[in-house]
Amino acid sequence: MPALLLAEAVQQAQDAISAGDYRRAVETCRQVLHSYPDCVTAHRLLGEAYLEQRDEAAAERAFTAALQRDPQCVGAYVGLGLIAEARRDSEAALAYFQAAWEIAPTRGDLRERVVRLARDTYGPEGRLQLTRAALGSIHYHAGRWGRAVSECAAVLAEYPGRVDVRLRLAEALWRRGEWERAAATCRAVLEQSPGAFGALVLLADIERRLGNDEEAAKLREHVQAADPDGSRAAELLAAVPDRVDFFLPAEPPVVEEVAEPTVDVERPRIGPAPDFTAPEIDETPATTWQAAAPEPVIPVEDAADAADPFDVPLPSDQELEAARPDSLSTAGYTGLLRSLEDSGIEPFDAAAFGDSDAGPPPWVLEPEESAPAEPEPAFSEPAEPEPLAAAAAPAAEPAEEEADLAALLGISSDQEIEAARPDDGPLSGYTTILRSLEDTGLAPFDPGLTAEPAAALPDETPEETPEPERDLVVPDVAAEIDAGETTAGEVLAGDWDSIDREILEAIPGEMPRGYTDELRSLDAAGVEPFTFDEEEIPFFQRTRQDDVLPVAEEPAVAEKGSVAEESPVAEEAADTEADIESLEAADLPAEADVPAPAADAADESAEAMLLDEVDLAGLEEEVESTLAEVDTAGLEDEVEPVPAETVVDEAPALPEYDEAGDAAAVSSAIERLGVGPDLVERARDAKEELIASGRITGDQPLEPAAETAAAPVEPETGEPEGVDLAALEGAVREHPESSEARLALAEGLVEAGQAETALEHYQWLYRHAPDQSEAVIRGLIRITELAPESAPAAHRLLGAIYRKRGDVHLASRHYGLAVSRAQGRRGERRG
Amino acid sequence: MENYLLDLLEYRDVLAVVATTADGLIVATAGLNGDDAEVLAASGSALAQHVVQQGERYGSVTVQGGVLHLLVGDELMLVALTDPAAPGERLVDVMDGVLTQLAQVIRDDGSAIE
Repeated sequence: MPALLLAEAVQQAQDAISAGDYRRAVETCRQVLHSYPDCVTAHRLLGEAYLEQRDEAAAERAFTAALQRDPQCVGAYVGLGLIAEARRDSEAALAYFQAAWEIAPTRGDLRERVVRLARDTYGPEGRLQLTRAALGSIHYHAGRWGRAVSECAAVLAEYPGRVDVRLRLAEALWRRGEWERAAATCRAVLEQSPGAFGALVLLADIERRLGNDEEAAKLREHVQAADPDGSRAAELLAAVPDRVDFFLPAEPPVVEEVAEPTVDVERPRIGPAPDFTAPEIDETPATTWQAAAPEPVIPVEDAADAADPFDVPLPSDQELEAARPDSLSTAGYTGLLRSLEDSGIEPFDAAAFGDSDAGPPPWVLEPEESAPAEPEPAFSEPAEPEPLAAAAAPAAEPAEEEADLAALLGISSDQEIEAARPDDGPLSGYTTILRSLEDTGLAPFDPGLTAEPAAALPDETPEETPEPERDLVVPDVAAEIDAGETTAGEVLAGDWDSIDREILEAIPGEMPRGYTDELRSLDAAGVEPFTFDEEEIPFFQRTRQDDVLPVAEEPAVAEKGSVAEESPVAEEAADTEADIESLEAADLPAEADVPAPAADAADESAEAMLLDEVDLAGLEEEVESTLAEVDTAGLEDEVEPVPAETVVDEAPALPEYDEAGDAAAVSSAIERLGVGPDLVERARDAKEELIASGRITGDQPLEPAAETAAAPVEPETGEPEGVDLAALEGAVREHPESSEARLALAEGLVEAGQAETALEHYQWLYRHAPDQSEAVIRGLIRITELAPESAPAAHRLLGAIYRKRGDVHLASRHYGLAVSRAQGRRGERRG
Repeated sequence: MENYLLDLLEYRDVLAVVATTADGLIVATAGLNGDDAEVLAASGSALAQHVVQQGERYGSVTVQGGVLHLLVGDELMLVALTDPAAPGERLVDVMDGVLTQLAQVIRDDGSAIE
C-alpha cells in the first residue's frame, strides 16, 4: 500500500464509514494513528467505525481518547452517548448528549435527541433546559465574548470539572484579547486534560503574541501532533487567519505504510499460506503438516474476506489440490463428497435424465419459474442442498456422481420439472394465478362477451412474465386513445349487471363480492379512478407545500363538519416542540380536508381493497376506462376548470391573504396548544402569589396613568417645609451611634433632594442598625422614585438588605435593577 | 433576567410574560413556570411565524380568557399574556422597553479583538 497524504487517509476513512466498509475504516484509522498517535480526527473516526461494528468497548476507548485530546469534540460525546444508549444507561446518554448540545447548541439533531432522552428518562418533567453552558456557547458563537465569559465562569463555579466549558472560557477570553487570563485558563485546561488541543493552540498563539517564541514553538509541536495538517487549528483560528500559518506544517503530512503489523495480527486467523512452489511440502509427513497448519481449509473459506484488506494472493483450486498430501485429500469440500460416496450416496447427474444440454444446474436458471403451480411431493424441497453441491460438484467431482446424488436426495431434474409443467409454457406471476383458476374450471373474464369487444385488454402472452407497473403505464393507453384505436365509450361499455352475470356464470352458485360491488358503489358515488397525468400529482404523493390550502379556509371547513376542525396531529402533541410542529401542520389541510369524495377515508380503504381483490384483467380494464373517460372529459379542453368534486388531483391554488381568517386560524391553533381559560386562570393565580409574596405590586395601570407613574418625578430641591436639616445633622453629630438620628437625617435629606448624601446614612444604617431595615427600605425605594441618578446605588443597597434577610428573589431583582439602571445611565451619558 | 419581566407584571393587566430566543427556547419567565411557560413560548413561536410573515414586530391574538401579545426583537421574543381589556398600544411600548433591556443584558459591551 503506497504512502498516503494524511488528508487523503482521513477522507478514505470517512468514505469507508459512509460506504459501510467499517473494517477498512478501522484499518485506515489505525494506519493514521500509527503515524500520528494523537490525531483527534483519527480517534474519532476510529470510534465511529468501531461503533458501527458494534464493538462498543473499542469505540468507547477511541472516543475517550478523542475527548482527551479535544474536550470539545462533539462527535466523541455523541458516540459515547450512543454507547450509553445501547447499554440502556439513559442518564449517562442524556449527560453525553447534553454536553454535546451545550458545545453545539445550534445543532437541531442534538437538541431533539436531548429532548427525547430527557423525556424518556424523567418523564413529562424532562425537557430541554437552556443551561448556562449552552448559553455560553450561544454567546460565544454570536460574538458576545463577554457574556460567554460570564456564563462559562458561572458554570465553572458550580462544576469546576467541566473542562469543555473551561476551554470555552479560554476561547472567549482569547477572543476578548485578555491574554493573561486566557493563558491562565488554558493552563488550567491543560492541567485537567494535558492533551487538550484547543488549549494548546490558544496558549501557543498567546505565547507568540507575548513574544515567547521558544515556548510557542514547543507548544506548536504538541499542536501538530494532535492536528498534523493544521486543519483544526485553522478552524479554531478562523477569525485571525494570519495566525494560522504558524501551525501549518512545512510539508503535507503523510501516513506511513503499516501493512505488515496489521497483517501479522490477522494472519493467524487464516493460517499460514503454504509455499506451493516448494516441492518438499509434498514430502512433509501428514502429521507434521497438520501441526503446522491445523486448519488448512480455513483459507479457502476466508478467501473472499482476506483478499480485499490484506491483498494476500490465494492459491487456485488446482494449486491446493496439488499441494495437498494424499492423506489429507479427503478434507474440504471434496472430502465431504467422498464421505457421502463412502456411505453409498451418489451425486446428482442431470445427464442421467436425458438432458445432454443441461448446462448450469436447474437452480441457476429461472428459480421463480421452477416453482410448480401445483406442488407435488417430489418437488417439495429442491433447493436446500444447492449451495454446497453447486460450489463443490463442478470443481471437484465428475458429473456422473451428481445423478446418483440427485436421485438419492429426491431432487427432480429439469426434465421432470418441465414434464410437470403445463404444455403452454412456464407459470409465473399473475398468469399463474389465472391459470390456476382455469385449472379449477373457472373461465377467465372475457370482455368480448360484453357489448363492446374492443374493450378487451391487450393480449397477454403467457410466455412472458407480466409486469404490473408496465400494464399501468399511462402513455401506452393514452397513445392508443390518441391514435383512435379505441374510444372512451368503448373502454367500459358493459354495465355492471352484465359483468356480474359474467362472473356469476364463471362461478356458479357463488355471488362474487368485492368485485363489482365496490366498483359499482364507487361509480355510483361519482368517484373517478386515478389519473396518472404528469401534471397532476396524486394526493398521496404531494408534498406539504402542494397541500397548502388557505389558512382562512379552516373555519369554513370546520363548519362543514370536517375533521380538520381538530387536527389529529395537534391533538396527539404531547410536548411543546410537538405542539409547534402540530401547529404548523394545523395550517395545512389534512387529507380529509380536501373536499372530494375520494378523500373519504372509507373510500380510500375501499379502493385499497379493490386493488387487492380485483383480478388483473378487471383492473386493467378499469384503468383503461378511467383514462379514456378522463381523456374525453378533460384532455381536449385542459383550460377548463376542474369541478370541485374532482379536486382529488387538483393542485390547490395558493390563497390570497385573508388577514381576518388567518388571525382566526392562528388563534384557534394557539388555543389548541393549550392557551385558554385554564392557563389564563393559572397565570392569574401565579401573579396573585407574586403579589402576596411582595415581589410585585401588580397594580399599575397600563393606561396613561402608567406613563405618569413611570415618568420620573422631578426631585425637589432645597429644604422642604418643616424639615430642619441643620438640626438633624447636629443630632447626628451629637449622637453618631443613634440610628434614630441617622434615620431622621436620611429621610430629611431624601425629602430635600440630597439622595447621594442620604444614601451614605442609609448605608450606615444597613451596617449598624439592622432593626431599622424596614425604614431603610422605604427610604431607599423613595430614592429610586425621586432620584434616578441615585437609583442604581439604592437598588444595590436594597439587594444587599434582602440578601441579608435571605430573600434571594427580591435581592436578585434589585441587583438586576441596579445593573440595568446603571447601564441606562451609561447609555444616557454616551448618548 | 426574570427581574425585567417582573417589571411587566407590575402592570395590572399583564398576567404572565415569557422571553424566548428566536427559535422558542425559553430564556426567562415571570408569572408562569413549567409546562405553562413552555406552552406560552410555543404559542409565541406560532404567532411569530404569522407576525414575521407580515413584516411586523408586534402581534396579538385573542384567546379565550385573554390576549396573547408578541414582540419580536433581534435575538429575543417577548410573549405576554394579558387580560382581554389590556390596551395593546400601550403594552407594546412597555414590552419594547423590557425587550431592549433584555437585549442589553445579553449583549456584550463589545470589546472583541477584531
